[in-house]
Amino acid sequence: MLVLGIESSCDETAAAVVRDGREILSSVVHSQVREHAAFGGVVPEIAARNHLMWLPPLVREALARAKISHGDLACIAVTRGPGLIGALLTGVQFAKGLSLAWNCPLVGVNHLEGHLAAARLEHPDIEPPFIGLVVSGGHTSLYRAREWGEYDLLGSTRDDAAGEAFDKVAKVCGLGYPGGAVVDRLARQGDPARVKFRRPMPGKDNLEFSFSGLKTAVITRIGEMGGVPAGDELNHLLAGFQDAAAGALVKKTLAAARITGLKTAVVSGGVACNSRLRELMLAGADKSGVRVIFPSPALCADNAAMIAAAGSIAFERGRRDTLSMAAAARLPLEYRPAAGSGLA
Amino acid sequence: MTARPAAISRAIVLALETATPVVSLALRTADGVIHENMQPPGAQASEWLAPAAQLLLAGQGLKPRDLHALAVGAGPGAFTGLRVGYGFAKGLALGLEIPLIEIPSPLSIMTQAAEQGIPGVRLVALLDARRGEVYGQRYHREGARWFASGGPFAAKPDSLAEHLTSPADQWMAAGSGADVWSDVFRRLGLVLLPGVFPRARDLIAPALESLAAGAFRPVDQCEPVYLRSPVD
Repeated sequence: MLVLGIESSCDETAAAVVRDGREILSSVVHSQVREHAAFGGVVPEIAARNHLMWLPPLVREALARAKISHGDLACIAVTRGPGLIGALLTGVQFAKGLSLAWNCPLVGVNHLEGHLAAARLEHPDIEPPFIGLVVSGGHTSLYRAREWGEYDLLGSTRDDAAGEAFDKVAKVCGLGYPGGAVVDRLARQGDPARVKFRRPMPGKDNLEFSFSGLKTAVITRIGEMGGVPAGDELNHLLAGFQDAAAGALVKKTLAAARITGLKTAVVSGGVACNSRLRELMLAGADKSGVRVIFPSPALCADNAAMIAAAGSIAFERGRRDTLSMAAAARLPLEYRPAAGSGLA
Repeated sequence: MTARPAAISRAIVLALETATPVVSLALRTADGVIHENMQPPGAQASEWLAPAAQLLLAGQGLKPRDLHALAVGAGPGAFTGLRVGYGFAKGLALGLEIPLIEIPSPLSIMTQAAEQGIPGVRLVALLDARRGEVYGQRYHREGARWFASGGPFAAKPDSLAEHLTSPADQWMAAGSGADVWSDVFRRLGLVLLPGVFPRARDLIAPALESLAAGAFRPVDQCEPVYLRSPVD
């Protein structure tokens, strides 16, 4: 079963072909980071305009690299939310055009489910139930995956997403946009014990996150230091920030595993590329007897292979969307089968 | 690209106009008849457009692969509306490997004004640009034919005269922008033709001319006329 995936929820335009929900035949991504960098963040109108221009060549390239024709496709899977509405709309409308032209079924995919399904592309054996942490510039949420397509939200951020905090701290420090990679690189050269921050823990009895206070604490500390430090002092500051942010993510993820009794966790999304998060998560999971799966960095960032993977699962479960499918800026992942459906 | 129709006169063309809230589709069949479908009030263009296109084709016993070309209203207009049309049209054109022909949306305003036999030789088509502005395009008549003068522009309504090439009272104005700002334009001295919106059916004739001349861009390069910077 071959599925074409299309992703355009934020500032990456992507297309991919995946076989049987697990094997990537092609995956092409155009990152718009350079277009947005000058503005210190994603400009929705720039994103939408770029998607419109990049979707045709990327889809053509994805099919060519996979060495297939459209007639081989079982369905077209497209991100329908959550994300920037203009960006999503462009991808959804484009996918509808292809679907009508090729008489090929359309499957709308939740971007967050795509991040969880990314794990399946490198670990074909992984099956629910498992704990899923989706952590990126736009999302920080913990889920219990009961089955593919059936998720309980266990906790999410009350304010900033973790990646947003990385971007804001980088901006305050004059490190440009996006901030995740540069903060990680500099923090690796610093000592987190030199400039400590309290791990952001909004309550001990829940699985929620909060990163706004941590960001404010960093800004306050910079003020106390008489301005943004340079050299090793900056590295220590960033190491302390990164350690606190990553520590909170690890603690809540492992708590979720303990509470639910699940022994597998999938950690995905752009922030899952962070080296300190990986280090702390793997160490903590080892002690707790939890298997943690991080997709490789290319599959943690936004891509269309993960959308094709999630679309494959949905298609196999009988999901078909119509040409009237709407894009949705807000699209919760939680799904509970209707009572009496036999699945509850 | 699919083979050109034996004669342009037999070309089957689907047109989409989404630059304003009055969204429409038109299908030109091989016999030259134009079949239309207008978006009902209250419907969302992004949910209505694709199934309506499918129904319009099916209603004439046609499948998407029977199409020889697509035409799309290129704006200027509402960004979201233009993306709804362009996103769908680019997917359909790529999938079918047929030309996507971009036609300026104000051309439809001019076509309708000409059909109504307006007096005078100067027309400015105006589309509501929101944020207190209009998008405009000047046209002038030579004999029975109308021609575009210069390119599209964005203007504050009360400074429209700066974009006209002769005194305002020598101009007629039509389009959604003329309707929204009618008081201002009457005060400037323009004669107004109310209730005119871009229609998909008016894209067909210029699209056939472009198809015959091979005057269209590759689908990858097709892009609406935004006029505004994305960060304005």
